[in-house]
Amino acid sequence: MRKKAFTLIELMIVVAIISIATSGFYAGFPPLFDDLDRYQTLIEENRSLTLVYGKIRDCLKKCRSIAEVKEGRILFDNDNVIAVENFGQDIRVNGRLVKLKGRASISELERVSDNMFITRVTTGHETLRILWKTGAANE
Amino acid sequence: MKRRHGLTLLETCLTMTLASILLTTLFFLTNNHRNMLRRLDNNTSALYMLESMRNFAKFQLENGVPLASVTSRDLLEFVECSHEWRVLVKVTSEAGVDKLVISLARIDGKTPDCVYTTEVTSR
Repeated sequence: MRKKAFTLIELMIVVAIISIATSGFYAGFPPLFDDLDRYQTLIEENRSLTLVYGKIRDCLKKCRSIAEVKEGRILFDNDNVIAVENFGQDIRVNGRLVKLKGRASISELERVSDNMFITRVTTGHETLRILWKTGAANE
Repeated sequence: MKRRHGLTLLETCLTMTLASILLTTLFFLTNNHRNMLRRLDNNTSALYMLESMRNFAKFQLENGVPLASVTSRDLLEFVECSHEWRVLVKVTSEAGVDKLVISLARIDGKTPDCVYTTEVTSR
């Protein structure tokens, strides 16, 4: 006579496989969905910081010395200006605004010498003290 | 003969195996993406840190401190980065010109993920 239903052992095997697959699903998928959102923010954060780095370096390349540091603005000898606005989230280089995304920020401008100044740069996981120098870099 | 209803054990197992393979692939895909982002994050931090370290060495030079006196500890303390970062400095001298090579790496586990390098000359 032909068997119509699963035996206990077959049922247990199927339940065991379903359990393994479900645990795999929970281990793999929630991070995937959480991460997708975080990934986008991180990518934008890093892209904006790289863009600001390029803008600042381009500006500094043309300057020889710092004329004045006042209220979040650095004025250079050739009238170029770097300004930090909106708690370090907006950087204005010679009037052109660059918005930093996510947790990225550049703040605390401090003059060190006639051609050097310090800023605080917050990247995804780090808050760094960055020393900038006018003139072309010989890297 | 009566028609069979439902799936056999073999069919169920086959479906489960295929589903597992699919889930595992997705899981590793996510892991790969995570590594890529960590690399991106490291690149951005290293870009700023190398700029700062290079300028710190130049600042020391302008104040009469020779490049040979600049240590990796000085550079790391100056930028105030996390303890995961390591710096290696090497000074070479050729025809009276000193050259400081700064190598920066983030140690994740035991091995460096990526090594970034810059150099400063005393000329």
